[in-house]
Amino acid sequence: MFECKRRGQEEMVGFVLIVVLVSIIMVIFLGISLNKPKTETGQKSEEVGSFLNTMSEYTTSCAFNYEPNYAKVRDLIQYCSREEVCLNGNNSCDVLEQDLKEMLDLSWQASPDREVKGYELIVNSTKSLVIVVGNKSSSYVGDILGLPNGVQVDLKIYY
Amino acid sequence: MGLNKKAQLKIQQMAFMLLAVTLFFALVGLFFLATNISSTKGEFTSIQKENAQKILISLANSAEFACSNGKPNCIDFDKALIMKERQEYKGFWQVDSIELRKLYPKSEKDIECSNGNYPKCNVLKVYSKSSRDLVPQQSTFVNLCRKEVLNGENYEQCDFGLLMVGFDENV
Repeated sequence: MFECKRRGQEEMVGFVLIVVLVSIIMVIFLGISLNKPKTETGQKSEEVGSFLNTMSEYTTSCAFNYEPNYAKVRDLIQYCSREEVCLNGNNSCDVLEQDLKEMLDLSWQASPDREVKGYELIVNSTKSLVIVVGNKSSSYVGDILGLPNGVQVDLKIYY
Repeated sequence: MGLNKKAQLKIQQMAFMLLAVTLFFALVGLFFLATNISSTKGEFTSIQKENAQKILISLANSAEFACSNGKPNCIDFDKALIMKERQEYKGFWQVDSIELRKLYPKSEKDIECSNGNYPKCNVLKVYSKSSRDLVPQQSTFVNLCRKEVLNGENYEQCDFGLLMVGFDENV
């Protein structure tokens, strides 16, 4: 009777040991998996920053003072906040909005069945401009471009 | 005799137990290995992408392509067209293909740039090691700037585009 009980205890200890061993292996494995650096997000953020910088240097069709003194997007934002009109008679804000919309659309191509689900661009100046396309989600990458006179361009790309 | 049979049964039980434990650990090991290999592959691709991005940035800011105004991510389109003709640069770059693509102003169809149609074109294949399209292709946003003349005055027209590099997977 005593022998049988002892053998049962030994088997239980063996079983517990196996369970503990497997649990330790699982915890180590989980720890390694969770500790991996998230390089993908960093790359995407750099991409958004690169987009904002490049976009701001685009030469628009809107000239002020004389032609060919065409304004860059970064200058056009300032002209738009002062509601100035281009030499060809176009409204600076209309030209700005059109150019930004086109560049955003060609670059990010937001759609529910694509990687980029949507985007939001906010130009914070005296005359704010907001462009929202697609769906917003909790997973996004963004960047802010600072311009003279406290103007900021905020872009968020939703994945 | 009965005792002998009991011992045989015990040995059988132990053998089964040992087999089961070995199989279990082998399965756990296999699972671990499979996930590890897939994550290593993912990491490799990620490192490749990271390196490609670094090459892209250094390429965009290299003397052979950069604008004279010194602005980052600005490519002198006129210079790039000349670079296309320069055979001595083949093999100089750490990539297998270099392509510039004008995104905006938008073109209805792809027109490859040559001395004859420049600047009324939107794709400039600066260099390609192979005639086929190389993958994986990595890109970064760049300004494609060129000198223009209007009313007798020079000005710089900067378009919005992409600098793309390709790598040969078979290398």
